[in-house]
Amino acid sequence: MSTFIAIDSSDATDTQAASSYREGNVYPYLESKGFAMSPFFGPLARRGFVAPAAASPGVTLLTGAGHGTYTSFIGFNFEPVYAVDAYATPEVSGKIAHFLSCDNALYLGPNFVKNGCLAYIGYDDNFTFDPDSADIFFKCDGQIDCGLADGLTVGDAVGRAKDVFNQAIADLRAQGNTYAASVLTVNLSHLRSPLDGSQWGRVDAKLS
Amino acid sequence: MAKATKGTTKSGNRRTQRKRNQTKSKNRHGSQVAGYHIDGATTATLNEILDPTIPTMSLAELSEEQRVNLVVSRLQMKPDDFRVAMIGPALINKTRAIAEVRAGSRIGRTLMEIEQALLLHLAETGRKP
Repeated sequence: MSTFIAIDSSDATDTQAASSYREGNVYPYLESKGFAMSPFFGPLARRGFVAPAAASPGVTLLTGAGHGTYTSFIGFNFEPVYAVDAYATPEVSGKIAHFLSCDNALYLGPNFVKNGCLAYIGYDDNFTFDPDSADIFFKCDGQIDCGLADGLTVGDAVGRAKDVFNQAIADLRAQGNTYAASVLTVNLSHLRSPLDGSQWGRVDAKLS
Repeated sequence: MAKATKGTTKSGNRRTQRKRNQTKSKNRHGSQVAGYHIDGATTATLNEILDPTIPTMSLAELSEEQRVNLVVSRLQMKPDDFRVAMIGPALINKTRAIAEVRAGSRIGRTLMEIEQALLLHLAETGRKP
């Protein structure tokens, strides 16, 4: 059985909101499609716990929500779980990675791919959301994992997620919530994936 | 939930409601500062920007300082309970949003990007026949 590593630091209100959505909707969907979850939530979202699990056989997806910088994905208590060139190749090699996190698509994503990661999907700037309609934002991003769970290639999963983003933007505008629609528009413009270039991996990669 | 009245359909009601929301939104934004007059000194409302008889500057023509001032003006018009969240900086209220934009911080730049995306959308939809 294929395993996914779920890393949610959940140590601040912003990351809690994202994690809560993912743990209630996205991870159960992956499990319903036959993927086994290896969870690293809260204080377990630290490098010492995640690294050996990620390098284990059968892991095909690294996913999660947490703070980020251009060069790192941050776990519990602001401890970097992944930082540029500060991990072992088997942790990422042959896997797909998707983080709901700010910034790290800029340098960490391409660094993952350089070290054998099949594809990296994430954001190259701040991920912003309307706290009063937060789930809409997390649902759009979560479509990436759901698409992968459905057996789509990375290119198709991201394409489907972009359609969900665009529909949500149209719906928010139709409801008169033009500010939230613009926030979502900006997030979408900062979503990076192999569709933007091979530095983020292969569009034809899929979960095995 | 209101029942569809004779001669209307649920989807027709939804379309009407959507149209009402869009009109309400247009009216709300129309009187708000959305750019600059051609002199580059006085601000222009969205209605003025959309008026083909009034010469105004496009977003691309504005200097960095003008764009900062424009976004700050628009943030000042938001309700006092305005807030937006970012993964990392967490909740940002109106006062902080204004301070971040004025400071030209990364948070401020993101807030400017959001406001500019909104202005572009409003101008685009407002110009549609």
